[in-house]
Amino acid sequence: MRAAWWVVVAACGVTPPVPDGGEPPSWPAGAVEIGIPFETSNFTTWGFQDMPAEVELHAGAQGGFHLPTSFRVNGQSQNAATFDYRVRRARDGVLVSKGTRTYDVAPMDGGSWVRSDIVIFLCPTPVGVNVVGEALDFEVSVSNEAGAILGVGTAHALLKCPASNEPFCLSVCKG
Amino acid sequence: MIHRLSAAALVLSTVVLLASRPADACGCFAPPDPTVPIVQAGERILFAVDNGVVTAHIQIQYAGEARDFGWLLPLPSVPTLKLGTEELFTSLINTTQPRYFVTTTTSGSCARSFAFGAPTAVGAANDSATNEFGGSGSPLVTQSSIGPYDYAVLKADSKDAMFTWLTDNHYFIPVGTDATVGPYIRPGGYFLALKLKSGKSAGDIQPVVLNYPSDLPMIPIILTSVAAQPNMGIQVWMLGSARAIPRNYNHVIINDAQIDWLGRAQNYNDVAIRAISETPEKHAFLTEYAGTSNIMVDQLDAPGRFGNLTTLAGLTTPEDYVAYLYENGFTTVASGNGFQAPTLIPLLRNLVLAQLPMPTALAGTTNEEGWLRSLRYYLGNYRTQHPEQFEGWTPAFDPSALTAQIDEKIVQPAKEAGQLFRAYPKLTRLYTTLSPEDMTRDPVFSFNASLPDVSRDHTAQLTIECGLFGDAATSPATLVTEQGWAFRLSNTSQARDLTAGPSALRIETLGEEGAPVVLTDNAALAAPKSGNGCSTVEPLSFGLIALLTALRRRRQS
Repeated sequence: MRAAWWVVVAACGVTPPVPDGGEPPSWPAGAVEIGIPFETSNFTTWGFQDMPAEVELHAGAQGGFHLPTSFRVNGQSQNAATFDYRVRRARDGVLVSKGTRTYDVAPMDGGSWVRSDIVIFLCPTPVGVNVVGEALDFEVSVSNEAGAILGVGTAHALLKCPASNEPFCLSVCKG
Repeated sequence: MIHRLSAAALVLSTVVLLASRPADACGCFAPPDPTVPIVQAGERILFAVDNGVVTAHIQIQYAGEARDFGWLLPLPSVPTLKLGTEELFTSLINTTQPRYFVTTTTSGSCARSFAFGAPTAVGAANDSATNEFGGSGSPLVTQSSIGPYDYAVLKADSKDAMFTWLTDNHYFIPVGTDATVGPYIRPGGYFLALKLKSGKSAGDIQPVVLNYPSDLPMIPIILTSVAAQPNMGIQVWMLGSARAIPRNYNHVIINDAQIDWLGRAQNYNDVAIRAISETPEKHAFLTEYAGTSNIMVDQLDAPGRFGNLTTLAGLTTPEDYVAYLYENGFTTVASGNGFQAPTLIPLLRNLVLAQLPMPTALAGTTNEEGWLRSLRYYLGNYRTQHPEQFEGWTPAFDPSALTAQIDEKIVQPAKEAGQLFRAYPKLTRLYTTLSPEDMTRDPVFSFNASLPDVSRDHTAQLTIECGLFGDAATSPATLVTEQGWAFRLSNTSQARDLTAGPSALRIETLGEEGAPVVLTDNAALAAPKSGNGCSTVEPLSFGLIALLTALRRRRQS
C-alpha cells in the first residue's frame, strides 16, 4: 500500500514562483498539486500535510533511483498539459533534477484531472550532489497547449535509500 | 582461441561467449571458458531525447565468430527495436570530429614555402513473427528477429530466471556478468538480449535503434566492464533542444599545449586519456562538439538520394543495377584524412555481393569494391578477353528481391536517422575513455541550455622567422596555441615534450543549469597567454608551473 501527501500552494493565496525567465503568471482558478508516495499512508487521500516527510527512493530499471509522483490540477479542463518540474536541494538550492513533459490528460468532473505515472529522475545525482538524508524542494509549473501557465505547485521531501538496496543506492545518490 | 570483441556497441553489456559450443544430446550449451579474455574496443551511440522517450542508435562492432556474439542491455521498459545504419556513425564521425589547424605566417624572406594546416581529424522491420509469451514463471516478455539478429526482451525480476532462459535459448552470457548485473535486477525492469541468427556472420552486424520511455539516457558501463579493454573509448552523440552534459561525470578540457600541432595532432587521444586520468575517479567526458545539428542535415537523406527504388528494381542487368547504385548515392566516404573515393555502403556491398559474387579468379586482379565499381568492364570487355575466369560464374541476380533488402536495411534506416537532425536542433559530441577497473559508475546524460557551443575546429598560429633568405624549415619559429600557450622553437622540426605539465587545462562539473563549476583550473595559474606569439613559455617552464600547481577542487558536499 502506498500513499501520498499533497501540497496546495495557489489555493492558499501564495504568489506562485516565477517561471524561468518569465513574468509572474496570472493565477487562474484551481490549484496544482504534487503527490509523493509515502511508505505507510494511503495514496487515495488528497490533502495537506506538514513537510518535509521522509520518502523512500524507488529503484529504477537501469540502476538508478527515482521518485514516482503524481500531479493533480483542479478546475482546469484541458486535453493536454505540459509539466515543467524542478527539484532542488532545500539547504542550498542546488538543482538536482529537472524535466519537461507533455501529457494527454482526461478531465474529470469539475475539470480536475490527475497524472499518477510521473517518475522524477533523481539518481545518479549530479557530480558532488548528495540527496540522501537531504530535504528536497519539488516545484512543478503546469501550462496548457497554448503555453499559458495553469498553476505552480510545490512539495518537499526528505529522501532515504531503500534498506534492501542501500549500499548501491548510496553510491549513486551521493554525487 | 581468442575472439576480439570490438564492440562499439554501446550500452552494451556485451556478451560474448567464447568457446561456446553446441551441446550434447541433452540440448544444453556448454558454459563459457572463463579463461578466454573478451576485449571490447569501444562504444558509439547516438541518443535523442524528447518528452520522456529516448531513442538510441547503437553501433555494434564485433570481430569474432558469429556463434560467440551476444548482447545484453538493461532497459526501463520494453523497447521497440529497428535496424540502424552504420553510415550514421560514419557521417557523425566525419562531421563532428575535432580538427586541428595551424595557420602559418612568415617574417623575413623565406627560401621556400611552408605549409601546415591541412585539417587534421582526430579521435577517434521484422522479418519474422513476434512471439509474446513465456509461460508461467518465464522471464520472457517477447522475442522476435530483426535483420541479422534474434532478440528477446526479458523481465529483470530474477537473475537466475533470466540467465536460465538465456542459456536455454542459446543467448550467451559473458564471464563476469553474474557479478556485475546485480544493480539492474529489479521488478519492473527489462533486459534486451541479442544474438546473431543462425547462418549470419559478424559481417552482417548492423546498428540497432531502440526506443524506450526514460527521462535521461544512460550507458550501463558497469555491465560493459566484463568485456572491456584498457582505455576503451566511449563516443556519445546527444540530440536535443540544448547542449548535452555528462550529468554524473566530470567535464574536462584538454590542455592544447600538449597537442602535437605540427604533427597533425596525432597524439590527441593520448592527451585525452591523460587528461581524463587527472580527473577524480578518472570519470570525465570531453565535449568535442556542441552546436547546431544542421551540420548533419542532408548527409544521410539528401533529396534525391537513393534515386527511385522502383526504377532500381526494374534494372534487370547487373551492370545497370550496380551502376545505378554508384550514381544515386548508395555510397559512403570512410572517415580519415585526405580524399577518399566513395565506396558502396559496406552492408550494401555485402548484399550485392551475395547475388553478384566476385569470381575467385579475379582475386589477384581487383578487390570486391573494384569488381562492383567496374562491373560493366568486368562483365564486358574483360570477360570477353578472359572467359576462363568466369567459368562456373552463374549469379542468381534478382533485382526485385535485392531492392527490397536494400530498402529495408539501407534506405529506410538512413532516412529515419537523417530525420533526427531535422527534429532536434542541438547536437553534442562527448568522448571519454575508461578502463575496466574504472567502470564503476554508469554515465547519465542531460542538457544545459545556458552553456555555449563548442567548435570542433581548433587553430594555432605558427610564425616562422626566416630573417634574410632563411629557410622556412630551419628558421626559428613561434607556435601559439588556441589556448594561448606560446612555444619558441629553434625550427619547425624541433620536437617538443608533449607530456610536460597537466594534460587537463580545466576540470569542471556541468550542471543542468548555470555555468560550469570549476574544480581545477590549470590555465589560471600558468597564464602564458599571448595574442601575437611574442610571449613565450618554454615547455620546461610549463612543466615547472604544473608541478607548482595545487589542484583546486571544489566539490559540493
